[in-house]
Amino acid sequence: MNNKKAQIQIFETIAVLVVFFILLGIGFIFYTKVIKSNIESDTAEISQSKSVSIAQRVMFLPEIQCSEDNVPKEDCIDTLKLDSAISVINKPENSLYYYDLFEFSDISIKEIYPSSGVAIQLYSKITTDYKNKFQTNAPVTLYDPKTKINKFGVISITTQTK
Amino acid sequence: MKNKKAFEIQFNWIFVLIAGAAILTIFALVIFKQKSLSESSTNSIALRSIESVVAGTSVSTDVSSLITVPDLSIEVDCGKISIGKISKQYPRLVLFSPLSIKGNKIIAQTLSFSAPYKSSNLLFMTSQQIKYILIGDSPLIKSINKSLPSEINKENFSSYDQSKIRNSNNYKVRFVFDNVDVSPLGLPPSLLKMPDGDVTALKITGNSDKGAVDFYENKAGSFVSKGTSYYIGKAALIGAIYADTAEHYECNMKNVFVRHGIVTDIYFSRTTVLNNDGSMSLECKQAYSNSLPLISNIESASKNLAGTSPLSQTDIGRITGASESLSIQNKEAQKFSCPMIY
Repeated sequence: MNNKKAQIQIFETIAVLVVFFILLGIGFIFYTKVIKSNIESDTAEISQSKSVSIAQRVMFLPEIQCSEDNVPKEDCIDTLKLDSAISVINKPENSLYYYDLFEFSDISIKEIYPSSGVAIQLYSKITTDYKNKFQTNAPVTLYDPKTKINKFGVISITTQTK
Repeated sequence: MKNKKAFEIQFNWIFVLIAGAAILTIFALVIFKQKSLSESSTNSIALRSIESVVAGTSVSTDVSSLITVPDLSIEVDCGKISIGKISKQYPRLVLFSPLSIKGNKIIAQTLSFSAPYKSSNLLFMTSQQIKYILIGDSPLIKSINKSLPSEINKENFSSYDQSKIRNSNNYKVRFVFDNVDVSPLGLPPSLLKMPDGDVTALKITGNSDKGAVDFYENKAGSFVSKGTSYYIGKAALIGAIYADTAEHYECNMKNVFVRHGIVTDIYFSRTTVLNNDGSMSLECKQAYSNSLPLISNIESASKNLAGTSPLSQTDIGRITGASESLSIQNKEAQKFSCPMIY
C-alpha cells in the first residue's frame, strides 16, 4: 500500500516536471519569435539608414558637385563634371572603389526643365538577390559651365540591400 | 519494510537534486547566453551609431559634434573599426583618430581636403578622456588651437615647462610641438607613471600649407621617434594630430590620395573639354592649356602617393607646387570671366 502511494507521488512529481518543461519550452519558442521579429525590424532599419547614407554621399559627391573657386554649391551638378565622372567612375580600376561607396545601387540624373531629357546613368550595380530596395529622388540644378545655363533635374538613387 | 521506506526517501532527495540541478543549469545557460547576446547587441548598436556618424559627418564639411555612446572602447585600425568582438571593415575609410577611443563622449570633426580643389572630407574622432597639449605661441599653434573643437580636452602652453603639466587621469596624453626637437625633452614628472605608448608627441616642421610631421611616443621616461611623414594643407595636419602613429596617419592619407587621383582625373577631362571648346576666348584657352600639365602632374603624384608607403616628400612637393600654379590659372580664368577650372 505504502509502495503504491510512493509510486503515485513520484509520478506526480514527474508530471509536474513535464508540465513545467512544456511551459518552459512554449515560453522559449515565444521568446525566440519575439527576438526574431526584432532582428528583422532592426535589419530593415539598418538597410534604410544605409540607403540614406548612400543617397547623402551621392548628393555631396565632389566628382559631380558644382563649385566656384573651390566653394561647393549644394544640390547642383556640374554637367561637364558629370560627363567626365561617368567614364571615370565606370573605369574597371575604379569600380571597386565606387562599390565600397555606393554598394548595390543605381544612380541616374535626368533633366526635367526646360526640356525633359533622358536619364543619364552615373553608376549602376544591381543584384537580383536583394531583401530591401529603396528609392530616393531629389531635385537638383544642372549647371553647364560652358553656356552658364542652369536647368532643373532630378537625381534618382535606388539602393538595394541584402 | 523500514529499509524500503528509507530507500524511497533517499530516492526522492536524489530525484529532487537531479531535477533541481537540471532546472538551474538550464536557467544558468539561458542567463549566460542572454548576457553575451546583450553585450554583442550593445557593441553592435555602438558600432552602428559610429557608422552613422561616419556617414553623416563625412558629407558635411567643417563641422564638429559631441556624440554620446555607450561607455566602451572603440578600436580604430587601418580601414577597420572594432568594439569588443564586433568589427567592421571599411576599405576606403578616412578616419584620423587614436588607436583606441574610450569613454562615452566622442568628439567628431570634419575638414575638407583640398589640393587645390576639394576631393574628400577628412573625418576626425577622439575621446574627451584624451588630453591634447599644444606647446608654443607661434601662429601655427594658435591656428591649430582654433581649428580643434572646443569640446576637446586641450591646453595651450607658451613653452614646454614640465612643472606646469598636470596629470588629470587621462588614459592618453598627446603633445604638439611646433618645430621643437622633441627627442631631448623628458616626460613631465606628473606623467612618468603612464604606461609606454600612452604619452605621444607630434613635432610639426612647416606651415599650415605643407610640411613634415614627426611622431614620438614615451618609453622609459623619454620621447622616442616613431617615424616621419608629410602633409598638404591644414586638414591633413590636423589629421596627424588626431592619429596616434605614423602608420595610421599614412594609411588614411593613402586613401585620401586614391580619391584625389580619381577627382583629378575628372578635372583633367573637364578642363580638356573646356580647352577644346571653340566658343572659348583666347585668354580662357590659355588658362586651360596652362592648367592641363599641372592637373596631370597632380594626378600622377596622387596616384604615386596612393600606392607607396611611406609618403614620398617629392610627390607631396609636386602636388603643392602644381596646386599653387593651378590656383593662379584659376584666378586667370576668373579674371577673364571664363568658366573656372575648379
